[in-house]
Amino acid sequence: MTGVHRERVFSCPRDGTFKYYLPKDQTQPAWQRMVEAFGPPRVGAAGVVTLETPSFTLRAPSWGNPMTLIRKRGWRESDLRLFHELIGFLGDGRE
Amino acid sequence: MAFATIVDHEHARRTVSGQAVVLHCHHYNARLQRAIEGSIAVDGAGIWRSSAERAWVGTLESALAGSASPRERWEAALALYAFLGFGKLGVPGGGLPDREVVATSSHFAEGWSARGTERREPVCTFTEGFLRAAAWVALGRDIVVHESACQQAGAAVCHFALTAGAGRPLRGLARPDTHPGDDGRPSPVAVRAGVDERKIIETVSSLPVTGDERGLVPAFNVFLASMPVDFYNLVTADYLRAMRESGVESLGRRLLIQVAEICGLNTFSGIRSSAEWDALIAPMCNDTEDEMVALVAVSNALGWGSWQVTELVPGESMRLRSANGYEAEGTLQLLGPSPEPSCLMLTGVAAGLMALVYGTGSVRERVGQFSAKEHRCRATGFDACEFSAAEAA
Repeated sequence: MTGVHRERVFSCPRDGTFKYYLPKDQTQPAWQRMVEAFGPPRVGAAGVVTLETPSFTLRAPSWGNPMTLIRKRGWRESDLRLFHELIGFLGDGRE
Repeated sequence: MAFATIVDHEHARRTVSGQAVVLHCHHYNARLQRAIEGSIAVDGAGIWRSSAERAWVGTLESALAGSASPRERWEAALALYAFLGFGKLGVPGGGLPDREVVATSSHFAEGWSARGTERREPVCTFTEGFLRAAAWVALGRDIVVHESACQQAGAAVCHFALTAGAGRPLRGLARPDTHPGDDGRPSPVAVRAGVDERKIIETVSSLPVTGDERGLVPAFNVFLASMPVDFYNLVTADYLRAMRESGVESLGRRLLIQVAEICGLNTFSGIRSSAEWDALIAPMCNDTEDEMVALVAVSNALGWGSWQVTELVPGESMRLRSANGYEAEGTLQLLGPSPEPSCLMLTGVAAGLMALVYGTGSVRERVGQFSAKEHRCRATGFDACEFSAAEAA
């Protein structure tokens, strides 16, 4: 168990949006792995960090946690699995 | 041509190229369209399209002033459409439009697709109205626009077929020199000392809310769009007039309030769970009452006009006061003094906010748990609009 959990976010641009909560000591290493896999994020207004990949948009406050994963049109299951591996999310069976 | 949004914090107003705009999200816009176009008693699609045409004519005439050539004017019109968050339009092969325009992204298609596949026919009626207005203002051409394929119906891009119109001139709104709402002054009432409403309004107002490379504005977990305020006021006035002529105006009013209630639930649910909320506002909030006041403060940054919570009984009731809401102002401008309160959107949002913060169950299950009423309205002669929301009987 990594301690990473997620909550469903309703009322989003896409169905299937979740907010992922990481333990404090795992947040920066997870972002490091994300950057290595997908490239650097963009820092926008209010310090909100946004990482765009072909399958999803990842958004977080400047301290990186929680991360909101918003799926894009045509998102791929394999990209979601990779994201879960990178942040250490083991799955909760909910979708 | 570069565009900029001017924000008047004091009056909670937003303008682009001198035209008032208000921010609403894809949930509200798609649901409002669904309610109006789905009303079988009236020609909802015709009302939606013609309201868009009239609103855009005024907006574009103001925005394109100074653009010399037709090509410059046409390109500026499409750039404004994307800047405001409605999507990306283009002519296949570039240049001026002849028979076809395509949209590679669409605020309304996003709004409808968030609701699944309940409607498979084209949904971009608003864009049809925009294109007709753009061709008239930029090129002096009257065209008929028909969306022949739509992303909502599974197409890769939305296609708009253009044919020559009958040469009927398009006109925007005749505006009075003064805006009734300009006299409205907010009267902040601090009901929660820990929440700095002014700071929230100024901070959220300063966020850049402009179309990205797709001409969309993903922010606060929703897609926002800066809608010319004339559109909402025209479509509401025309819809209620048509419903009145069909003998079902009260049904129309209830429908618009419910759309706004669901907007209040969905939009502010999205806002409350967004990264922007986590970054800016959550650190100010100690309890759900703080969150309610903060949510209303956020809405002041959307250009709806200035309104505040004046009384809050946790879990039971809330009172709000609006100094210059765009609905009352629009009613006075379009129709003159009204016998009935006119702020249907704010009324519904008041109920939706209570349901969001104090309701139970899923977002869908919370609809109807609280109800709201507008007791006083500027459109009926009062100096401010006042609302109350409480648990539904």
